[in-house]
Amino acid sequence: MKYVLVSGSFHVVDTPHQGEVLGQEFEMTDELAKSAILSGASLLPKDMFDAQGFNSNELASYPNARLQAAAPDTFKRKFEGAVKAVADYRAKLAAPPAAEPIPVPGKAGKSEVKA
Amino acid sequence: MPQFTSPFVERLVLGPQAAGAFNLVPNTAGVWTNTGAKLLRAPGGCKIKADPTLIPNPVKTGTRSMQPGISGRKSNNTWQLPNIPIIPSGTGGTPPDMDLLFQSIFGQAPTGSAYTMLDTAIVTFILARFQHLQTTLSQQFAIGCLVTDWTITINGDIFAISANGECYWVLDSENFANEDAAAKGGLTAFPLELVSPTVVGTLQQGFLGTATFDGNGVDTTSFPLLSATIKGKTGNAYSKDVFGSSYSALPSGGRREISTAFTFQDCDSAFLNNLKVKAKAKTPLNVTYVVGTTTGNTTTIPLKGVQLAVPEYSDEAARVVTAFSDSQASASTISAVDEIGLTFS
Repeated sequence: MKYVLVSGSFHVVDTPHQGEVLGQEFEMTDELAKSAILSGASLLPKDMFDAQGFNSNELASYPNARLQAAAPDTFKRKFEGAVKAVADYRAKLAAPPAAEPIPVPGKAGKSEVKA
Repeated sequence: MPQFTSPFVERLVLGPQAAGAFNLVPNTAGVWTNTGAKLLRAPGGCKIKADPTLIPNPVKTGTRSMQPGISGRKSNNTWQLPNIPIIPSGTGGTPPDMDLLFQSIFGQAPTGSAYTMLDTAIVTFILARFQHLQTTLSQQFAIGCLVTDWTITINGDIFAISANGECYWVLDSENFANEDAAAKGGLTAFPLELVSPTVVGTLQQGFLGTATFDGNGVDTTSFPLLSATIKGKTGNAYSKDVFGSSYSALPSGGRREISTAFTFQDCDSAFLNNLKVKAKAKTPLNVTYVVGTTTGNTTTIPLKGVQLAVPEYSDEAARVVTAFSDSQASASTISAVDEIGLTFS
């Protein structure tokens, strides 16, 4: 699956996955990407990155924090949104899996808590 | 022929421990659970030591020769991490790889990437030395590490921190089988190094940024700062003399001490004269250091209530320098715990 770098730099040590440019794409397994994202790498799945609405001119003009400092507000708003999307995605990855509902005989598809 | 150890195959790892579980290693059926462990980018100089004291045999024997002693307590265990680069994550709100070191200094996890002091908790962590891919060489695994003292250096080539501390015990690969259950912290196998760990952020120059003293920002023409350090003692320590165990008991927190020292190029600027006057009067003032200039790579360290030492003057080639030695920071109110903070943004 493809993942895209949003901010900062990261390196998955002992692998070729190393990035420091906004919009840089990586083909990596979901398991490796999850580990990298939980370790602080600011990566998003490609479809989520595309949804942030960066255009090719913005990606070319503002690849890193130094150049982003001079970017217009329209870019900065998109960038802040993308950084928030990474934080939300990381929180989702870190959350424990939701418990499966316990099936109760005679009430298919519903769960019941008994005292 | 033996395999020789190279200084450069070493990989240092910081790993979390559960709150209050200073003597337990997170594990699944005795195997280290390394979730949350991070590779620490560090130069040489890491030292981890657990050496039971030797209790000398006191009995008279009729000769002047020493008799063998017996093994003493296993509670004097230490670690050192000198000159560790402070590497922000590169993304505001995301803690750095060395997060656990700062958690141990501040006593709690950051909010986002902002660290504030907490009096009521002591954060311990695991510090491990692995020899990359060379498992026959000696590996060390320190349990229950806590920071006792630390120094941040500003205006060096690389922005860095040095930290020292105590630990509950240190496992090593040669002795693991001989250790008792209390030493193993729940493990049944010596831990293995991390597989494909991720690191974030890049080295930061230590000489770019800003600083403010009593509301006045330094500059290169009238208020030139030459060097600065921030030092801290957490006051945290293990109880090393409990009955019933060779090992330390629950750590506790004593008085915290935070101070800063800094040097200016001497001149007659009003800003520098203000500091000289307030040093003699011991008037508390605030100091803020900001290292880094780009978003995601900026470290801000505000110090409150700093009471300056009276400066000393010395010649240094073509200039005279004004050195304010270690000057204590203090809380802003009687109930505050805010003499220092640290934010990556």
